[in-house]
Amino acid sequence: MKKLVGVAFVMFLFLAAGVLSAGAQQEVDDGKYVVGVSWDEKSIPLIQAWEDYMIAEAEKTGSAIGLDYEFIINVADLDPTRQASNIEDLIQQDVDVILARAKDGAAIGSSIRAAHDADIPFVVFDRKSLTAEQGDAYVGGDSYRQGRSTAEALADLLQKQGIQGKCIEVMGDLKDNNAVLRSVALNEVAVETGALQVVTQVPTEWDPQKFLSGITNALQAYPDANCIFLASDFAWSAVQAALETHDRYKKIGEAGHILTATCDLFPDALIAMENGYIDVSTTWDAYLHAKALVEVLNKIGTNAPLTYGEEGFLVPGRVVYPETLAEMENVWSRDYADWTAQ
Amino acid sequence: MSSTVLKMIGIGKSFPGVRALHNVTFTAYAGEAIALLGANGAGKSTLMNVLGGVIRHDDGKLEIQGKSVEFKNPKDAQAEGIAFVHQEMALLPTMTVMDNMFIADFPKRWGAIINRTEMRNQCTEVLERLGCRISPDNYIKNLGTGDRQMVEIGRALLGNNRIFIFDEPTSSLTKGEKDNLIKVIERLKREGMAIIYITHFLSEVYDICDRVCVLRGGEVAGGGLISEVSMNKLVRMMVGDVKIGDRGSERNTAARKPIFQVDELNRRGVLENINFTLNKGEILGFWGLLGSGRTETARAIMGLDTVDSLKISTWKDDRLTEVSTEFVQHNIGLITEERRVDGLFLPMSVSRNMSMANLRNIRKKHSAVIDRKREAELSREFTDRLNIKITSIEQKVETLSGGNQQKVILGRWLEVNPDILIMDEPTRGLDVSAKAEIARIIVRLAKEGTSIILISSEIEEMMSLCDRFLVFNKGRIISNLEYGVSQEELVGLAAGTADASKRVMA
Amino acid sequence: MKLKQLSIKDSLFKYGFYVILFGVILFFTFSAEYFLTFANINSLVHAAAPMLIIAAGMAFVVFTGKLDISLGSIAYLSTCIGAVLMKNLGFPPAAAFIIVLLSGIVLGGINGFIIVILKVNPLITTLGTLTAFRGLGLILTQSFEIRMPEAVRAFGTSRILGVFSDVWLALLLLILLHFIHQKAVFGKQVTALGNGEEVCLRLGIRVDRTIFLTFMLAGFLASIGGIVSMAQIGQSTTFLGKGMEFTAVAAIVLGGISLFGGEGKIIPGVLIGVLTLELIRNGLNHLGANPYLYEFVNGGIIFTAMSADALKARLRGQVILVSDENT
Repeated sequence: MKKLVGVAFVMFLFLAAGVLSAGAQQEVDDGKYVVGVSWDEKSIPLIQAWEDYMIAEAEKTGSAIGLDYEFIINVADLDPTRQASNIEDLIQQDVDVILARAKDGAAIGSSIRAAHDADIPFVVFDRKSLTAEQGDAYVGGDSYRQGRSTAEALADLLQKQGIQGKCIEVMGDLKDNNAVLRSVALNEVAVETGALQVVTQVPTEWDPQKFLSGITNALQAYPDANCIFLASDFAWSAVQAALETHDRYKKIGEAGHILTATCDLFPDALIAMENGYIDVSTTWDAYLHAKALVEVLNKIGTNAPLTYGEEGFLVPGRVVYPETLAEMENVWSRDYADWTAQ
Repeated sequence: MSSTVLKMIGIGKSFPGVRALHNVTFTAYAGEAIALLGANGAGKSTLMNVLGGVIRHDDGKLEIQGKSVEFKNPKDAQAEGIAFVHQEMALLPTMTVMDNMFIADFPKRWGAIINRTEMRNQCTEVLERLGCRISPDNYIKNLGTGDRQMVEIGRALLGNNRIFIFDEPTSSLTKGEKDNLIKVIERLKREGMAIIYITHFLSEVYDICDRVCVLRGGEVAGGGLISEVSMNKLVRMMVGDVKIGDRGSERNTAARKPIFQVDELNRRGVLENINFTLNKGEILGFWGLLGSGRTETARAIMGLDTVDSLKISTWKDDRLTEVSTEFVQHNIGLITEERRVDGLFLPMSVSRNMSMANLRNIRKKHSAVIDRKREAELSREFTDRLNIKITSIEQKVETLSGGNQQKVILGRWLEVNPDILIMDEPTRGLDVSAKAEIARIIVRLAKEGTSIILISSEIEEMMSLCDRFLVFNKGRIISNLEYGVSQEELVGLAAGTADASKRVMA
Repeated sequence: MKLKQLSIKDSLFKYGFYVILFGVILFFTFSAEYFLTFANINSLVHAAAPMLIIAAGMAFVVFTGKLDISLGSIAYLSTCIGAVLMKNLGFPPAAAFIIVLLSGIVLGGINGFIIVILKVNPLITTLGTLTAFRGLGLILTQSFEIRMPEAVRAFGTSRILGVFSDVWLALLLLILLHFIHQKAVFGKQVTALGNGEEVCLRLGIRVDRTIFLTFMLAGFLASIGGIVSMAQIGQSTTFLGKGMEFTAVAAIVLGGISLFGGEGKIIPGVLIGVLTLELIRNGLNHLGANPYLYEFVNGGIIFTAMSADALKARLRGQVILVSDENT
């Protein structure tokens, strides 16, 4: 009996909460172009950067084509069920278009279907839907071109310095498509240019501990290696520790420096590049992603045809060197270096 | 006469609905062994639990060396020098003899570090007192049952105990180990210890004990100096007027008709060239010491152990046909020694347990669904036939007494009605009346035409039931004897003392 | 005679692993130029240091016949607490690390409490806390990577007499734990528990207290392992400790510590087990092996070790049977 009362009470609370939140729903203004955004989480600066760049870009470009943007933003706190109900809320508010970064690519399909049933276009961002429902557009980073541009820049640097590259390739998690694409790009460039040779591949499963031990071991086994390619520099601290172990954590130009090319330029790596430890990187470019997003949103808002490749709007990054870093604008890892979630 | 160490006077104990003990007076003397006998449920365990401080008595009082004592918990009893040597030994196989003896109370340095020198000295001293030659550094897992028991006794000796309670200490010992235990008990007696000896083997009582006390239905049924009580009288005290199931002259020796044959059973290091034939309606006894190969042979036949060679055949219309292990498993019933481990599903009902071997035959027509009605009918029929005492066929097996559990297993095989049954120690641990009842069932089955292979360590049981004996020794069959052989001869052959050469089978 | 045959088999199991290990080392030595060098051995043990410490804690739990699969998460959560204290509240590293160690003890204590007082199966309990502790850590750091102060980073790469400091730390801890396991009352009680709790209760061992302490010890060691790992990498990352519990179990089995409880030793068991796994990873790195090969090789080794453990348990039964007969 006690249990029953408890259950009834909890149900009542849920109901009450539902009624209250329904009452608090924002009224959608006519004449405005309302974009419903569903973030999977917002505890990392990257997402805040996406959001801010997107809103700024939308305001800048929207008015020229007669779109008065308004954003309704939900956060699912890493819970796929919450995300589904968040998107349901957006549908109820009859937004003009929905944009979502899926927490669970396998679960987002039902939300896409629900949106389509209500005749609301759906844009999938960064993480693909793993279901038959692909949405109206996909916007995301282009890992292959990102890896390729870094690799080409590395080859270029080597050729300019007149060195035959002997490269340690630090790979990501081989179950992650991004990791595999970056590896493919490097090895293609190595063959095409002949400027470098991958002497060893270090798998890391994206685990910093394995970055550390893997790079340490590789430097041990291949002391004549003269360059290193990182599939991602998010674990820069571990890379630094490995280089320090072999006394090879040196600035560009110092004796013992190992030519370092990375993908992503995450915050720690950005500082390292500012300090002259990284030779080249291709950004995981929140700014360009946001730009591409707004381009798609603009087209949807003006009923322009959505033309893009089979893979969706895949956005490459920008290649950056220590010399060019300072003047490059909208680098999220710099703009949001001190960002903490509210 | 030696001095009185323990006196339990007028002990009474009731559990809800049951009077477990009533006015029991029990006395133990220094330097003497007293046997505590009684059928299961007679109150032995309750009395010993009172003495061990495990349960508290309602009436009466305890005196130790003339001093009145009261035990609130087992620690109080231990403090008064009472030590148990249990049937199920409390040993740690992966640890050494020394560690096992001291695990509850290590000699220490600096509070937490073990003083090994001290420990070794004490351990060696105790092992010497026991006349035991095992090393303190031996691992228990490498020791035989007898030596393990010595470790248990050694542990009890360490605590300066004066009263030793042996609960069924010989039930899994070989003859040599048993003799050694008797010697050790003699030593303990000489050291002035009081021994309380609980057993089902009456013959041991005469070897070991000076006195006897028999309980029946929670009361003292008799006792006194062992030299003044005959074995028959003891049995009568224990069971009242139940007759042990002796087949007397109704042996099946006439026209023997073979139905089952085992040839060339070999298992390296365990069994060597085992051959025998089993006849219809015959009770064939496998006789030998523990580890002589009798149980191993049964297991090999059932396909439970891998063997190097084995040929099993059955006789049908006077023709010998070889059969597969699968056939054996479906057509021969096995009743094991360890019924609680190997045989029964303790948390399941009597009815489920009994139908377990017979599921194929109680399916509903054309389906794999079990016909629960049919299951219940059969269970009822056999619980009646076997006189199993239960409140309902849905009662859980774990709540039954040992004798009734064994009957549930019997019932399981009777439902299948196999031509051949192998019974390995079917009465181990049962009280006298339950034993008698199982024995009667075995006899009846044989009369109805079932062939039975019986394995038992109890010579009286074997003598009274079997038509024929195969004597096992060190993995071989050394004799094939007919009913009528003397008890001495059987014992001698198993122990390897008697001359077997005349009787070796071809 | 019978006994002898079996003991040959037995010793094959006992030393067979060493033979294989020796073979593996020889193979790597001849096929990778810089494999058997001081620098490489040094960095190999350096990389293994966090796992050595965590696996030693796991070993104690396994000695009792249980498993604690939450150790990686304890390592993560306790270091998260330290990282947040340093970053957000400006704690000095030493003070923060003392709190990390205390957290490890408390988190292990939570496991112990659920197992001993609430009587929940240890595997279920730690499966729950495996997720819960990691979740708490993620909330606490908002899944941020928190960079360590320079002093902590410096410890991670510092050396004493040319050998990494954390290698010394791990070895000292292993020796101490080995001593506790072999010579202290607590160690004996832990081993006894692995022989069955029922028996221990009858023997008057304080079973609940010992289990509780064992899980606390494992939690404590996990937090030390976490600190060492965090100092090596120089940052607190969401990956810290992920999957470590399983690697630890694999290493323990490799080291001949039986999952059935009661058997095995910290030295050489844990040392051999952990170093073997690290040695293979290191060796494959040196050979520049196909990256897809790593998990396959690791899986194969673990599978072999587990089967050997099960086989050993079966063999043990046979040995007893034969020695019974001979007495």
